[in-house]
Amino acid sequence: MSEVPEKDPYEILGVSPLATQEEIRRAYRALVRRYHPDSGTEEASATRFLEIHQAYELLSDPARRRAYDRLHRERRGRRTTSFWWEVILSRQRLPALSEDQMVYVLVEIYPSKRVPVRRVPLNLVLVIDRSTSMQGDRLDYVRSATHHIVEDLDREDVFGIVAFNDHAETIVPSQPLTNREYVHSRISSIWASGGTEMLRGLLMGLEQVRRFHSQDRISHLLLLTDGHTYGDEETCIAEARQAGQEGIGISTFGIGEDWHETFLSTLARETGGTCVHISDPAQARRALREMIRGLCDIAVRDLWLTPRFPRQVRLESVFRCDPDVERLRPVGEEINLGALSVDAHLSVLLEIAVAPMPLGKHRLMQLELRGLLPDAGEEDRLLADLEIEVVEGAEEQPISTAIINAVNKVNLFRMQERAWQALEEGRREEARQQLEAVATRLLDLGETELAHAALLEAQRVAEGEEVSKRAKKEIYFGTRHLRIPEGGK
Amino acid sequence: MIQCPTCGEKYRPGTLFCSKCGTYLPTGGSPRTVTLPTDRLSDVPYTPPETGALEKEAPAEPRTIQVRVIETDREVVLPPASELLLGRRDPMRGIFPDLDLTADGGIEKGVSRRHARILQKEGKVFIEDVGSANGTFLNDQRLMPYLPYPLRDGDRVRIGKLELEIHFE
Repeated sequence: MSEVPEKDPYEILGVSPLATQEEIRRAYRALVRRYHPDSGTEEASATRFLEIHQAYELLSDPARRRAYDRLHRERRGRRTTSFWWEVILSRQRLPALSEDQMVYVLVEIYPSKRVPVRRVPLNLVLVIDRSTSMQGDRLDYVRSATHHIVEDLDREDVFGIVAFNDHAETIVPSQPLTNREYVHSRISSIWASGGTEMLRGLLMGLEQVRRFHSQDRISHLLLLTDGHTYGDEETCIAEARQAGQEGIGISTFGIGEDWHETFLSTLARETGGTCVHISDPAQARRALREMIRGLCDIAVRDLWLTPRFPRQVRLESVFRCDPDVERLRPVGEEINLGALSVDAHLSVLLEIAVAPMPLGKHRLMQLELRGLLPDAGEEDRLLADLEIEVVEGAEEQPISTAIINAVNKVNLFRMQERAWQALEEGRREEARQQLEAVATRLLDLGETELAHAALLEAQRVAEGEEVSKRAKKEIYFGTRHLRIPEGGK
Repeated sequence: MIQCPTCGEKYRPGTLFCSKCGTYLPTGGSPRTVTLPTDRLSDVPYTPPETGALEKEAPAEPRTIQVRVIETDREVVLPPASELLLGRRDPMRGIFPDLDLTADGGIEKGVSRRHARILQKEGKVFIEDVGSANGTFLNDQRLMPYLPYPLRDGDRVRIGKLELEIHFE
């Protein structure tokens, strides 16, 4: 997603918003001749061509054009909000059927240009696993990364450190960074021993975060671990969920290969945060630094998406699909999306089942998006009503490339999830087939390396061998961060 | 319910992708490459590449590659790039090969969307099959997927069932 797709389809085709269908068609044809990749002209460009094609797809369909105009007007009128969005449906007309049908809704959220880029003070707590397995390289690199963080942070930032094994210890109580020497000396006192009981570390970390948690700071907990925790996963997730509702973010960093990717991902996503895989401990510093930089760049925080449905419509699942794929879980009817960075964008895909409805127009859902400006308590809100029309024998409708890409991405993530699940449940043959299917799809997308990894694992499964933990993490995180070529925005 | 034409899984109407095999359901997976009957393609054994293929030599600028599609007698001059993709264009999936064989009957001839690559390394030219459905053949020998084989000026390469002649200075 290199450019901010604030592009107006009218602008792309170079026509007025009042243009007739005929004018739009003429403009499209002229542009195609110029930009088609096979046109042989100097201007030929696949991206530009797709962009033109998509703009035409949208504007040539009267229903979609009307919907766009309506949304666009609303957006224009709301230019003062700190974020804006684009809501795209996989189809707006459904055939009258006697069974449930599937509709996809893609919500793309961007920060507004006017958001001031002012750094909001951070309230950070680092929770470090210091169990025996961290001994050596791992803890050395984490300690060194922590020393660097202390130097990188500002004076107004608040910083604290908690370390845990079978019990937790506050190494540095949360405090403004006025005495860095003291903090450095405390970091050097962290040594490895004992087991991994994450809940204790998490609870003590959250306690420290809460001491300075307020509206004028970004509160965030960074958890670094290299292993499994036993028996307290559910409680950890419940705690994370609670923190998320208070507006505290959690990011998790898994070092090496022995940690549980689903658990650490879930922990982070409950707050709208992310989970990062650190395969080589030497990358710890860079990973932490990038995360903290992201926190400094927050444009909107506490983003919550609330879809409300009429009786005949049901939410099947929700995924974040950009910046990375993550299955989201609504709290009641609200979905925590965490924070939005200044130059980032966030996409959410909703999968919706629509029960049989009589012919005519119906409300599909109402969408509400709320978010807070990072430095003040000011809340912004966007609202949209989405409609569908049930018609007799609906004709083939073009599907927006953005939707296809998003669903494709989510689907790949699902396919590999299915593979691991089959494997866990001992259905090895199914797991093998599923991994091969993942590999095929990855190849289609030009992801040769990941495809290779998946094929190798399929082979291992076929030969009755254990799956490599490293490869599993590569595939799990690789498929979440796929760069599916954008069909132009 | 609708059924995935590839694997038979059932889904609600309106579903876009099969979560079992990844087929794009609205077109029934038709953008996928059809596997050709195994009349002779798969009877050809794989051959290992010549040894020393990837030995170092003085680095050189990539050369211009000329490809002649024998069947249609179409000549294409490919740009001097260190990597060129041969296949079929599919904008929907974001696949834009440097040499698009759609117009040469690519689908019927079993050309995959991502079929093979021509690589240039240290002044040498290689061809590599990128896991195509129907295989890539160099002078009638089937290539092991993902292994680059050295190419010589005038070599014949078969992409599925489509014959190409490759020239470079």
